[in-house]
Amino acid sequence: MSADPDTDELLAVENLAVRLPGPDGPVPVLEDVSLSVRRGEIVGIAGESGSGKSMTARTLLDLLPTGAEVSGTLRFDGAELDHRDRKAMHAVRGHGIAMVFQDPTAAMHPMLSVGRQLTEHMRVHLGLTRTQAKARAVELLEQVRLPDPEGALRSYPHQFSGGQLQRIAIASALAARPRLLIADEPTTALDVTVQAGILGVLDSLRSDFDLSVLFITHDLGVLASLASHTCVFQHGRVVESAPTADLLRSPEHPYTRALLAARTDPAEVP
Amino acid sequence: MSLLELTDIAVEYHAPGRDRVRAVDGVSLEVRPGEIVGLVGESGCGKSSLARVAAGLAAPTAGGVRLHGEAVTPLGRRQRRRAEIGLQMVFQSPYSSLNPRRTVLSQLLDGVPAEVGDRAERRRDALGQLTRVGLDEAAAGRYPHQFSGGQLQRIAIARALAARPRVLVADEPVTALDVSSQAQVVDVLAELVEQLEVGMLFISHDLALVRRLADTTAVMYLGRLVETGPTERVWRRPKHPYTRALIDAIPSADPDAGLPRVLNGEISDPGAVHDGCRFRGRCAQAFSACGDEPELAGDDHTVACWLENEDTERVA
Repeated sequence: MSADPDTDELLAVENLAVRLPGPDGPVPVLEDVSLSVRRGEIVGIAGESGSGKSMTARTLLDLLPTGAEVSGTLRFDGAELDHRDRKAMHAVRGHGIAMVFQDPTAAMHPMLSVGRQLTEHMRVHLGLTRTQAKARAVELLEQVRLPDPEGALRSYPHQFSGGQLQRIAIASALAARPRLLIADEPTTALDVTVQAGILGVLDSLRSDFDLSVLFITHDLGVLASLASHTCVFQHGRVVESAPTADLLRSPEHPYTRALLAARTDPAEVP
Repeated sequence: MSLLELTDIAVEYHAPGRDRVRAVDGVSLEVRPGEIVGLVGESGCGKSSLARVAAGLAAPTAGGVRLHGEAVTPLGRRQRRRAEIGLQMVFQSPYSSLNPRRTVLSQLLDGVPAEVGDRAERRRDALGQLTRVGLDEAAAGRYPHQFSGGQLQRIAIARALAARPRVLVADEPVTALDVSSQAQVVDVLAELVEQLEVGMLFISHDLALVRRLADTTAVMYLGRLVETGPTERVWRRPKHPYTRALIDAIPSADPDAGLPRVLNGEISDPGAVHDGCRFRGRCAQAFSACGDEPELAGDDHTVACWLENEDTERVA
């Protein structure tokens, strides 16, 4: 279970292919996908709806629909991820890899207080006492820069804005100190001003706690100053993979160029 | 002459047991034929409340809406007057604004006016609307679930256009779409507005998108307009600190640009608006004069900020 000392690789996906059951036989949704994430690195996955970017994330956490056929190699923290080994997968989820979803309102239980939702799994999974869990929850909410963490624990999800809820969802995902956070379009449902705040939070979590992030988005601009490496997905394949700055300065694949041309950029003022 | 005129609109909500919330507080706007007015602001600033009033879907608490000089009466349990059908709306989610159990054609036909002619002519007209938004005529016989979000939004636009509107109110029409479909839908809208000489009120939280599309930009904060003006001028020389913050928050694809700048705090509770400038609490440049609420002032490019007011310098 020890990582190769020569590399600080945290996650490696090699030749991943996923086929989902369809009415006329299995449908390929991912083909020959390879990517890697190092410790303390933010890697971006960009592509449109249906390009397979969320499927990649789901495969990592074994959240695929039943009947999915997976082939290829997934390596996390030096060990191979084996979906058939349920116990090992259970240990990886939450502790090793955690996920934040697009819609923070759907990710929270509306009838339980934020404190209950944040502390419950810490008590179950980490074996913390009530007081310890509460202290940890406050600490987490401070890390995601939520104002008044103590008060927030007593409040319910509907009392927060979308941006605040997404911060709480990130705090909740970080509870068991995962090494990798998968953020699946975490800012798509939010205002640009709020998005800027969330990007800042993720970047500081990376630099302060050496957290690795796999950031999935349809907007390449979001990745520009956040991700060190970017993979562009189209039709279930990685069509371009390069350091983000190179990819943005000289995109090689026509699809990457099209994605860039589609966005309205504030920097393009002549 | 302006086509759609909103004068001093106020919208209040009153939930039992709670104080009144003034979501829109004295907003005046006008849309001319062939003009796209972009209304920008964060969630909770009152832009959707204003959109519903502008489209005649809800009654304002105060103020009036005029279409071609005639007062628009809010929708109720009656048929709309013919003239008011000239006001059409495109909603944020095409998934919920189209009926999943009816074909695209049958939904388009709802909008085609009776004057167009007999069944066959109305059908031809509906198909024409589809091709106009860049879809194939074969789409007519299909159901909404057979389309992607971007295609559905174009169908929703085609349906709005079928009614021969003079003004379109589009409330975050592309927010739910991918960047590339966003571009397509926005381009279709811009083209149609120009071709058909309709006016459009385009509402979005994304200033970059508004810049791409709108002739005039109006920035709204907590129920009030804080800046209005020709789009390029507002974008290049924003006068209000809030407008500047909105521009700074847009992520740039330039790898050297750095992370987008964060505006402190969140939009405050519209139920508890304090005195003075409403942006004061989040403004880095707030000073003593901001205890009084600034009025929207200026000729072409208006702003409600004491920093832009010549008298303030003497006070400060």
